Order: sequence, then structure tokens, then C-alpha cells
Amino acid sequence: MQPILDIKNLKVYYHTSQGPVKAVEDVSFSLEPGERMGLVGESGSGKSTIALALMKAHKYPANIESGDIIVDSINIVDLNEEEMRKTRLNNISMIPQGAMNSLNPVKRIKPQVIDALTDHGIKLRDKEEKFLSELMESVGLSKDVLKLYPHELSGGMKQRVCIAISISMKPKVIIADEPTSALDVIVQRQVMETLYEVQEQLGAACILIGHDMGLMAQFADKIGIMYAGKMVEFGSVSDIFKNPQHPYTRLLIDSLPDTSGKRDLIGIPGIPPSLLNLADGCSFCLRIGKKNTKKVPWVKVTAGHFIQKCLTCIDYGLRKKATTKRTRK
Amino acid sequence: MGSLLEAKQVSKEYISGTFIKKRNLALKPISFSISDDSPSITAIAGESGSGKTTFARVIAGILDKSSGSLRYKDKDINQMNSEDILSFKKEVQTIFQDPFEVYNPFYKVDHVLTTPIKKFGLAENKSDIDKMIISALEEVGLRPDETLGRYPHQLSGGQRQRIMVARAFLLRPKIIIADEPVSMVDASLRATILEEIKKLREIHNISVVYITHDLTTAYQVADNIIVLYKGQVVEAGDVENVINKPVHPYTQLLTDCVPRPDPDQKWSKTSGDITLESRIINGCICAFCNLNESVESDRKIYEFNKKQIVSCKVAEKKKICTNEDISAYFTKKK
Repeated sequence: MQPILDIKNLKVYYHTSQGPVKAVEDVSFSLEPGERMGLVGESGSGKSTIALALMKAHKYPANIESGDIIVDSINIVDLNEEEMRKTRLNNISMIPQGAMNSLNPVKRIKPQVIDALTDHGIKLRDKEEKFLSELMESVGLSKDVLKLYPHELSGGMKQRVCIAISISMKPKVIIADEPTSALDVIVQRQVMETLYEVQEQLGAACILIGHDMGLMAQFADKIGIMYAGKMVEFGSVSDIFKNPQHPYTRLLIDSLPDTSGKRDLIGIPGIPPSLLNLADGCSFCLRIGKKNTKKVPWVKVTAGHFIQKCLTCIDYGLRKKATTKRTRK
Repeated sequence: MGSLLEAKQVSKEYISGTFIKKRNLALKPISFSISDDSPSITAIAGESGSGKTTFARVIAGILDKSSGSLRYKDKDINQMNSEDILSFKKEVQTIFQDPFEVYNPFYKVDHVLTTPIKKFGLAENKSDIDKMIISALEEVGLRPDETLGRYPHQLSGGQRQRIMVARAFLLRPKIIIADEPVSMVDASLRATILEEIKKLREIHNISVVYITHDLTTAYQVADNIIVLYKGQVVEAGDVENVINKPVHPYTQLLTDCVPRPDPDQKWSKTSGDITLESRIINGCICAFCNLNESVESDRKIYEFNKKQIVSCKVAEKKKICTNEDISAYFTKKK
């Protein structure tokens, strides 16, 4: 199938007075219609910068240095601001991180939903009522919500309103940037199920950004692991969870708490390197006190499963796993 | 065996409005104690608005309770003299949720560490202060030379939260109340911070009250758990029992909603709506048992087994709890 979203060698830098911050360095991946991808990484790994670059909503000093972002066979890197305005929401849309703060507190929900449509030149006229009630129904809200103000809604409802706005023009790609980070487990599940349903209905490709591996296992088909601005591993959910190859992925999965017996919690040692003037080479080596300044190749493990293979740190998690056994109490 | 901190039937009601008073009973009467012979880690779980943070703040003495009594070392905290209050404030420490807002951005991070030492007069001179700070930072796995002398914005969320653990530890407390210490921290750093908290109990004999909505971390860290819903205890007991064999439908819902990091164990398709609103309409807090009882009415707590108490009709045939102190049903760790 023809990919609906194709990112090739994307580089996004922040130009600061001290030098460029390489927030996204040479990231490539593609998604077919209906596919769900998880983009995992810790704060500052560049995952949100990718989301902003995909919407071309990044602001100075961020700049797309090179690379292509092809959405539905149009390279959006080349579009000017006016063309991009039409593409946003129509072809590619984003569900923001803080649902609490993304709605206008002094306006009712209805004008906020219609606002985007009007801006894209769509006039609903007498079809308005039917359209809006169907839209709200698709995210599991009653149409009475349209008459309310944001403060009258709970966090989960606000996030579902945001989902409704982002799917109102049936986009082909949906980007969800940590849509549930401020919500508790029950509401998180509702929001994720809503997102899953609308995405299935639309047949759109979806990128879920976050750092919760549990949520990724529930939602995604494919997972990309970001570390220090680079994608270090990419594969299907079962590849990543059952057969992780990169040491960072292994540590990430090992650090997850579960409920099948108590054990010592093992965190990831060290802190991620600063992306300012980051030298070439393996950035994970820097974290564990090793050094590899050679360019790290992007290697295929099995079909559809790739890693950044750095021979200096490839065994890191493995050796550790063999010596420190999980102690059960 | 005595109790270090003892809360008897404490409740908290929030009252708002000038002329027309709006009352919200956020925490229904609850009895709980922390014993002084063996340090324990107790988790308090529940969704937003369940009263877990209110409970933490009441037992930490930050919020004034509406009824009941709170005793520390057998002294009522409302009738303490200033010396005892000072020792209560020193020995019961709190770690808050948000590692970004607890710092004053104009001060270096050293400020949060030196202030309590000076306030409680723990050190005589500058070099003693430095020694205490360095040992506390090393205790939580931070390198002092990379931490001290920096401003909060120069540190990551995980580092800032670990400084808060160090600050609490610095005062050699008996009890630490941690209010969602890892919810704002990256998943990869959570394990490290939780391990530090476990170490506080194992090495330094500090009891911890760990407040969270994440049942997987509660399971790994705590010995016992109290599940709250609408300010009311719905289930409590040993984590092994409550999390892996939950009896109350609400606890079952909570454990069911945890996203398991295993692609083969997907969420089961939910039957209908699981929202808060729909659960109340059915007359019961959980929408599963279809009771005709009002949500607001006091519910009996049944003793399901020696290590688990439940407030649900599911356990109706079991005997009603005789001991009102929840911690009587907790497993003590040797």
C-alpha cells in the first residue's frame, strides 16, 4: 500500500546563541493508512519537536534544516504558510497535550468547534446541527456539551472535545501528543478508546506520542524509540516488547513496574546528554560512560525492525541483565 | 506496640461561598495509624477527586481536619506545645507532586536544602551544613558537584524530584508523605525515584505514605494499600491481595484500566460507559452491583479475610469489621 505519511531524513534544529540544538537528527519512517504508531522517548528526546514539524507549527528558533515530510503525496516542507493553513486539519491534525489549556475558557464549545471549519471555508448552514451531533457522538459525548463552557467539563471530556475538533475535517493523519498525560487511569482508558474508535472509523494513520510504554502496548501497531534527537529503534509492537535490540529500549522495558511479583526497580542510569553542539556518534554511549564517535549505522534486524547499531554499547543491557537477576521477594 | 501517628475518624469538609454555603465532604471519617515498631509503606490509591490528596494533607497536618483527632506520639496535634509542633513538623515530611512548581526560580537549588537546616537548627556552622547536604544528595544518587549551585531550570524533572526526596531525608524524619511523587516524571526515571523511596524504609527505617493513581507502582513499592472512592474507603489490605485479587468492583475497574506493557494483554472491550457520572446514577458507586442505596449513605466495611477489608455488598456474608482502624488489617513487614 502507498504510505500516507512518509518522513525522510528529517532534521530540525533550534538555533541558539550557543550553537545549534539538534532536536531531531535524521529521522525517517513511514505510515500506511489506518496504521497506529507510537513515538516513545523521555523529555527532550525530540518527540514533540517531530510533532510540531509535521504540523509545521514550529516557531523560531526551530527550523527544518532538511528532509521531506510527505503527507498524501504532497511534500509539506515546500508549502508556504497559506497552503499549510489549508493542509492543517484537512490532511493532518494534532491533538494537543494539555486539553485543560487548549480550549478558550470564555467561549462555549460550539463556536470553538465550528471556528476551524469556517476558517477552512466550509459553510454548514442547515446541515450544522446534524453534523455537530454526529461529531460529538463519535467521541462519546452528548450534543448538550456544545452549549457548555470548558470549565463545566471534566478533563476527559475536554480532551474528547479536542479529539472532536481535530477529526472534524476527517484528516488522513492524526498526531496525538501525550493526550492523556494529566489524566488518571480510568479517564485515560476512555480517552484512548475514543481515539482508537475514531481513528478506526476514519481509517487515518495515527501517531501517538508519549513515554508510557504500557499505553503504547495497548494502542500502537508500530513503535519508534527516540533518544537524544535520533530514532534508535523502530519495529512492530511485538518486535519492540519481545525482542528489543537497542540497549536503551531494553532498559526502558526493564524499568516498567508490573504486578506479577515484587522485584527491585531498575532505573536507567545517568541523564540524557545535552543536545547542544552534540558531537556525531552514539549518544547512548555518552550516558553510560562509553565513547563512540563514529557514525552509527541504521541496521535492519528483521523485516520492519530496525535499530541504530552501535557496537560499543549494544550488549549493555544484556550483560547487566545476566549479572543482576530480578530478585523476587 | 504504640503508634507513631494515629488518625481517629478524621474527616475533611470543604466549605465555599459567602452567603450560600456549599459543602463538599471530601474525606469521610477514616481511622488509620502508622506504628512505630516497624516502618511501613502504605499506598493510597484512587482517581482524581477521590480524596487521596486531602487525606495526605490532613495526616501531614497541612490541612485542618473537620472532625476526629490526629495524634502524633500520643499527643493530640491541636493541643501540642510549640516544641512538640516543631518536632512534628520536622519528623513528618511531605514530597509534593510537581517538581516544577515547588522551586522558587530565583534561588539556586541549595536554598531548599539549607533553609530547613537553618530553621530547625540542625547544624552549627557552614561546613556542617555542607556535609549534611552532600550526604543527603549522595543518598538519593545525585552527584553534589553537578547539582549544587545550579538553578532549578538547569536540572531535569527527575533530578528536581530527587532533590525533594533529599530535602525530606535531610531532616531525618520518621514519616514521609509522598503525594504522587512520580506522576510528573518521565517513565524512565520513575523506577530510580521509587527505588530511593523504598531504600528510605529499608535502610533508614522511615515509614512512607505513598499516594498515587498508578497501581503498578503502588504494588512494587508498598506493603499495604487503601483504595479511596469519593472520600470513602472501598478496599484496603495487603497489596498482593487487593491488586491481584480485588474484590470490590471499583478496585477491579482500576486494576483493569492499568495499561499493561504487554501487546498480548490488551484491554478487554468495555461494556458500556465507565464514566464517573454513569456509575453514580445506578445507585451504587460502582454501577456493577445495582444497589438502591444512596451514594452518600455510610457504607459498612466487611472483613473479607485477615488481610483485606471491603466495603461492598459482594462481601456481605463476611463479618463486619470490628476494629475501625484500617491498619489493623495490614500485613506487618518484619
